[in-house]
Amino acid sequence: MECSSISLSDSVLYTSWNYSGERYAAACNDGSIQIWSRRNESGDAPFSCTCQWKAHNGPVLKVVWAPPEFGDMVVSCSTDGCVTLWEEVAEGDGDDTWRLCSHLEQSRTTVLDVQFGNCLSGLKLVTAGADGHVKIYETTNTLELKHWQLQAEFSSVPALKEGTGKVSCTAASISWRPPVDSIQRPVFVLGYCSSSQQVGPAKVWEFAEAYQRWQLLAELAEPNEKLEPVHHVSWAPNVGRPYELIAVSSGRAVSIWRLEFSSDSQGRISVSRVAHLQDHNSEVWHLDWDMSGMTLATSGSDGNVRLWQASFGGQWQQQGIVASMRES
Amino acid sequence: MPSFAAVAPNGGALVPLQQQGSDSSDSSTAAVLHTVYHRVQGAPRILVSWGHGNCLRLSYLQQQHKPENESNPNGLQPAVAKGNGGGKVVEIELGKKDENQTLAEKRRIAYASVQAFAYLQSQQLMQIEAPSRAYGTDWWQHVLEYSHSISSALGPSGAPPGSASDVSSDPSKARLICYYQLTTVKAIWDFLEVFYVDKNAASWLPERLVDWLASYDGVLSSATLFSKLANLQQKLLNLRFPEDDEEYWDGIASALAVGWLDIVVNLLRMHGSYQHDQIDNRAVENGLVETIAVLISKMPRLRPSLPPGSPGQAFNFKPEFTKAWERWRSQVAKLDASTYWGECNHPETLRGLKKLVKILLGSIDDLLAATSHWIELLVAHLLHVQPFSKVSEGLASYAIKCMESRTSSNIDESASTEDRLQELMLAILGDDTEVVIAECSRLFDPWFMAHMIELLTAKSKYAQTLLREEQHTLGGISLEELHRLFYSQVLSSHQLTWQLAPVYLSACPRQGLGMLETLLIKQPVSNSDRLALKALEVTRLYDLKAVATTIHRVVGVHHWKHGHKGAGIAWLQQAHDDSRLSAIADELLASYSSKISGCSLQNLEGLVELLGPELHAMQGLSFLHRYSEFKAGLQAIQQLRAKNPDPQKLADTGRQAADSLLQLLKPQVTPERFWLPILHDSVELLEWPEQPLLNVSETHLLLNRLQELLLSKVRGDLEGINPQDLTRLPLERVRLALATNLGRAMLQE
Repeated sequence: MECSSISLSDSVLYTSWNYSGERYAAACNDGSIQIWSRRNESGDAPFSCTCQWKAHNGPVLKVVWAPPEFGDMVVSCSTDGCVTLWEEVAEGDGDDTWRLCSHLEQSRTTVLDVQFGNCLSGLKLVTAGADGHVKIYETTNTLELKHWQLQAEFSSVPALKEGTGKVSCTAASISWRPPVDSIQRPVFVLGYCSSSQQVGPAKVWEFAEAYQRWQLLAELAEPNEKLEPVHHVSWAPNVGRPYELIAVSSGRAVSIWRLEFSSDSQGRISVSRVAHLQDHNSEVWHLDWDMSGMTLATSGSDGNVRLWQASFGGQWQQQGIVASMRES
Repeated sequence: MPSFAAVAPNGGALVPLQQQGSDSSDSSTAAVLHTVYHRVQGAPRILVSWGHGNCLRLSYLQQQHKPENESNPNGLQPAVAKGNGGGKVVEIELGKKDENQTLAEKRRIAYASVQAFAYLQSQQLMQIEAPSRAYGTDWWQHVLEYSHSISSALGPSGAPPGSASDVSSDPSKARLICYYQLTTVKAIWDFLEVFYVDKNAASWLPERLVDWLASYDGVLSSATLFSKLANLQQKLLNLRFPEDDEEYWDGIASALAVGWLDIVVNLLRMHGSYQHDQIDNRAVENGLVETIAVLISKMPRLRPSLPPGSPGQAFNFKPEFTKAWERWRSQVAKLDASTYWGECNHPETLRGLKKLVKILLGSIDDLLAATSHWIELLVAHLLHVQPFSKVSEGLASYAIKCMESRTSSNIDESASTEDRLQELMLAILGDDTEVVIAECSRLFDPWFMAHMIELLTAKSKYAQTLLREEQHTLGGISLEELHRLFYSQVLSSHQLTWQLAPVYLSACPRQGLGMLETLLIKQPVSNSDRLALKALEVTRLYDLKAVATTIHRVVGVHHWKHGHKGAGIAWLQQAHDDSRLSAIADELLASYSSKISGCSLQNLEGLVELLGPELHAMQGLSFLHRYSEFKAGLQAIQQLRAKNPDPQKLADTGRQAADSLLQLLKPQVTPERFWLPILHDSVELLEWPEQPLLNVSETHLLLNRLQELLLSKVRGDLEGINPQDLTRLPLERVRLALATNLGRAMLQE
C-alpha cells in the first residue's frame, strides 16, 4: 500500500504538492524553502531535494504552487510579513534555478496563508494576515508575474471594520472555489484560528462585479453555535454536482457545508450543514478532498487520518483509518 | 431507497475501502486500513493531500510547540521541538487489495476488459441512434458476448480433478492454471451471466449449474467435492485394488450426484474386476460394474450438446428428454430389482454400486451424504430428484432448503468471506438485485463493480431502474455512473493505466467529462512532450477544446521558462494564447531593441522565423516578423553598397526596404514605443543619395508618426519609452532627414 517515502528534517513546517503531484515544496522554520523532485521523467526514481534557498527572515508558514499555466512557481508567506513569489527558470547555461520573481511588501504582521486563484480577469493572490486582514493582489501579466497590484484589502473580522478591537490569529486557511467548466470564479472561503470569539466562523467571499468589491457571501455557522477556531478549510472539487461542498475543520470536529447557488437574478445562496463529524476526538488539523469530491480525508492530532464518504442515504460516514505509530 | 440502505454494507457505504473480511457492523469504528510508522517525537502534525486517483499523500511533521501565552507578541514564532526524529512523507494507494492478484495481473485484466467495455458502449449507442439496424439481435446477446470476453480475460475455466478437461496433470498447462489462479471473481462473474444475461440458459438451467459447478467447485469453500476428488486422485496412484477402499466408492457417488459423469465412468473403469489377471470368479461383479457404467454413459441430459467424448445423451427438447429419461430410469429401476446382486461376492463393490443406483434413483439421503456444499446438493437435487421441474422460479427457496439441510448435517463453521459468497449466490439465485450489488461491492474491487453492472442490466428491467435512476443523495448521478467513476479513479492512480480511464468516464453522463478534464489537467504534461501528446489525443477524441488549450499553454510556458524558447512559442501558438504570445513578442522586441544597432541578431531572427507567417493575426509577432524583414533589407543595402553594385538593383532593394518600413508604420502594426528606433533606422532610406525613395504622402505618414510620439510625450503616456530619447538632439536627425526627403519628393513630383 505504501509506495514512496521522503524523509524531512525537523524544521519543516508545511509542505505542498504541485498541481500534477510530481514535485513537492517544503517550508522551513529557518526561513528556507526546499523543492523535492524525482530525478527521472518516468516517475519511479526516489524524490530528492533539488533546490533549497533562504526565502524569508522568519519561519516560512506556507508555500503554495501556482497554477501550471504559469510555469514552476511557488508563493511563500512568513512571520516576517512578506509574501514572495519564486519561479524556476533556465539560466544562461541551461541549468534550472529558482529565482525571486516578485516580492509583495506586506506590513509587519505575520501572513498566515496565501492562495492563488486563476480567474478570467487575471491571476489573483489572496493573503490572510494574523490581524484578520485579507489582501487580494492581482496581475494581468501572464508570462512574467513581476508586477502585482493590490486589488482589495478588507477585514474579515466585523469588529475591526468599525475600528474597535484588535485580534490575533494563529492560523488561517483559504480555499478557492474550484473551477467550474474550466472557469475559475472569484469566490473563496477563509477561516481563522483564534482564541477570540470576534473572529467568527469560516466565511465565503465573492467579488461582486456589479459593485467591484469583495463581499461576504455566506458564514459557515449555524445560529447560536458556539464557535471553535478554524484549523483548515477545503472547497470540494465539483465535476458535475448541482451543489458545492466545503469541509471545515474547527476544533475537534469536521463540518461539511453544502452551498446551493440558485440560478435566479438575486444570486441568493442557501447554506446548510450536511455533516458534523466528531470521531477524531482531538483537534482536526488538515483535510483534503479527492479528485472527484466524493471522499474526504481528515487528519487529527491523535495521529489518525480518517476517510469519509457519503452513503446512499446522504449520510457522511467514516470509511477507514490510516493510523500512525512511532517507530521504536 | 430505504430498502437499499438497509442491505448495503456498513449501513450504506458506497464503495467500501476496507479489506474484505474486515467488515464491521458498527460504522463508528471504521477499520484501520494501514499503519504508518514514523519517527516524529510526540503526536505528529499530519498534512493530507490527494494525488492521482486513489493515492493519498501524507506528511508527518514535527509538532511545532507554541508558547501558551497568547498575548505574547512573539506568540507566532514557532519553536522547533528538540529531537532527532524528523518528518516523513508517504504515499498510500487506497482501495481493496486482493492478495492473490498482483498489480501486473490487475493491469492485464484492466487492459483486457477495456476493449469489451468500449465495444458494448458503442453497441448501445448504435441501438439508440438506429434501433432498426439492431433488428435480429437482442441486447442481452450483445451483453453475453461482452460477458464472454471479460470472462476469458479472467483466465481459463477450471475443471474437477480427474475429468477429461482437467489439465492439472499436464505440466505445461498446469503452470498456466497456477498463473491464472482460478478466482472467485470469475466464478461469480459466470454465475451472474447464467442468471442475469443468458436468456437461453433458462431452458436448461440445471445443466448450466452442473457446468458451472464443475468449473468452480474448488473456489467455493475449502471443503467441497473438488478437494475430496483431488485427495482421492492422489490416493489412487498407490492403490492396487481401489474397490476395497470406501473412499473410492464415496468419490464415485459424489461425482455422480453432481453429474460429473466422465469422472464416474473413468473411476469405475479402474475397478479391479476389469483386470485380466483374475484368480477369482468376478464375472457377475464385473457385469454389474459394466452395466452401471453403461447406464451412466446413457444418462439423458436436457441440454443442447455435450462436450465431445463425454458420457450421457443430450436432448434439446423437453418432450423427447422426458421420454428418454423415463425409459432410462425404468432401466435403472430394473437393475435395482435384479437378482444378480445376490451373486456378487465382493461386499464393498455391492455396497458401492447399490449406492450409485440409489443416487440415480434420486434417494434424498444418499444425495445428502454424497455432497458437501449446499450448492452441490442443489445441483444433485435438480439432476436426480426433479429433472423436469421448471426451476427458474423458486430456485432460491429450494437453495435455502438445501442450505439448511446442509448446515444441520454438517456443522462446519466457515470464514466470513465464504459466508458472504453464499449470501451473494443466494441473492443471485433469488434475483435480489440490491443484495447482489451490496454483497459484490463488499467482496470485490471497483473493477468488478464497474463491469458487472452491464450484466445486471442486460435484461432485468428492475435492475435497470435501480442502477440507472439518478439519485439526489449521490449528487444527481446513478449507481451505474458512481461505480464507473470509482473505477476510473482507481485507473487514474497509476501512470500505466490512466489512459484507460477516459473510456469509462465517457460512459458517465453526469460527471464523466468533468472528471476527465481534471484527470487530463493533472497529468504532468510539462515533464514529457510524449505524455502531453497523449493527453492531447484524448482531448481530441472527446472534443475537450478548453483542456487542449490549457495543456498547450502549460507545456508552452514550461518550455519557454526552461530555455526551449522555440518549442515554447510553438506550443503557445497551438494554444492560441494571444496574451502570452504578445508578452513573448514584447520580450523578444526588448532584446531586439537592445541589440538594435548590433549585428548579433542571428538567434533572435531564428526565433522570429520560427514564429512564421501564419502569425500575422498576432499583433506583436507580426510586427516582429516585418521588423526582421526590414532589418534584413537594410543589411542587404549595406552589403550591396560595399560591393559597388548595379544602380537598378540597389534602387530595387532600397524600394523594398522602404515598403517594409511603410508596412511597419501602418496603424495597429507596431507598438508605439518602437516607432522611434524605426524612424532612426529609416534615416538611411530618407537620405538615399540617388533619388528620393519615399514619395510625399509616404513621407507624411512618417511625419505623422513622429508627431504622435511627441504628443504622447506631452500627454505623459509614453509607455515603455525613455523620455530622454525624445529630447531634442536624437530627434533632430530624423526631422532633418524627413524634411530633406519631403523637399526632394515634392521637387520630383
